[in-house]
Amino acid sequence: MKKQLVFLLLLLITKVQAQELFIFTEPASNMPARSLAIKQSGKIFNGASSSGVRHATELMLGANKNIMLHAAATYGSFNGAPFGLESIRAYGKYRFFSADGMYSHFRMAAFAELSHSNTKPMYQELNLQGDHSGLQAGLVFTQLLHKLAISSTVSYLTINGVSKTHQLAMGNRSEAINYSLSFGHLIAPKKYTSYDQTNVNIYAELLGQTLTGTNKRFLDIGSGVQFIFKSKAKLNIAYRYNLQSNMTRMGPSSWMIGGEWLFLNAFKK
Amino acid sequence: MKKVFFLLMLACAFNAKAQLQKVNLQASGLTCAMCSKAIYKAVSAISFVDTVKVDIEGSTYEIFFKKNTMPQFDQIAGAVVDAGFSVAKFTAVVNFDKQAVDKNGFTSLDGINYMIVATAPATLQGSKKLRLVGKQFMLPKDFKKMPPLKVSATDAKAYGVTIQ
Repeated sequence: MKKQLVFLLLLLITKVQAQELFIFTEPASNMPARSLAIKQSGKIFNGASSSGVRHATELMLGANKNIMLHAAATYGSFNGAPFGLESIRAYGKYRFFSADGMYSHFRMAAFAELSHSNTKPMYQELNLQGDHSGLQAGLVFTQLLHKLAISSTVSYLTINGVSKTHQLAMGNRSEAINYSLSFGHLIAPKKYTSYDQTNVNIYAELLGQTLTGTNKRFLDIGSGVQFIFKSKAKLNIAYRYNLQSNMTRMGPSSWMIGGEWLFLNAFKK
Repeated sequence: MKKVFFLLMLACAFNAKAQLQKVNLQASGLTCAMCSKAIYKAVSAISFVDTVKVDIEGSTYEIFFKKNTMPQFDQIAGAVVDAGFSVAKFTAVVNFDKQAVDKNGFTSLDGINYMIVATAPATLQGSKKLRLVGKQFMLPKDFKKMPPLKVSATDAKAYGVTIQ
């Protein structure tokens, strides 16, 4: 814990270029208009009550300068269950405020996502990343200031359908507030000379949830390293660790590895 | 002989088209190479753009144009905005040859209209750096400092500029 705080403080005082291509959260900024990206990631959970692996394939589209759309599917296997499709998800983000300065900006965006899941998780944590059917909507605030980027998300999540019936039957809640605070910075290269240079970014993200009307909550830290090749392909390696929790969850920690490929000017104007 | 004369005429015609030498653009709102590349690709994809030279660290782009095209400055600024960022500084480098400027600061060259902000000379001579004035061409704080135009540049269908 002490180490993680030191790391966060270091991020705050280090005068290096900040990055907001976060691993666990979306910034308020969007992808360029008419660009397309494909993201493939795998998570390995290892908990006291469950273990498993989950893969996600996500297509992302910069519809225009303000609107970004995602379509995703997750598939995997938990506790020895057969490997198969778990969920599908659609996500949309609208950037409604943008104030740019030299090497700085402040942006705000609103997002909504819809998910349909086949799984029936046995724990209280709610998410649309494969476990539940439902809806999430919220706001993202991203500030890049004097080479430091900070991004925060606040959202409301409600599950529905079989997910909701199942959670209520277990005596659990079906609504939650999610929040996050993310930091990131570039550690290489020290000086940009070409788009072919490999960039290395490190991230620390605080990710929390509170089940509405209860004192049930968790707070995780996700820390990761990101390599960007030729300014178009990303490799993310991250570890998510629980700092504090009083609710039942899939597991206290998970590893994530993922790749993303960006296609600029994928569509003609 | 006739052929040589024709070639000379052609060369003169191309020279006349080369009066807009280049545009120097500085983008704002970004630090990363991936973001810079998005701007580079968006500007490079414009039909009248020939080549773009980039200084990633300085977030500046030197834009050269194809021959016999009429570059649209609005379209270049629009490409930067579509990539998700803003224009901090937009300078057109133009070669003038005894170019007359009217009392309102208005002048036109190769189909591009310019309206010079503040006191304008009666004629323009040689290579000039014209910085475009407008919300889409500069940082908001720089735009606030600009003196007002004598005649609206929009009414004159011209780009408001200051001579650097």
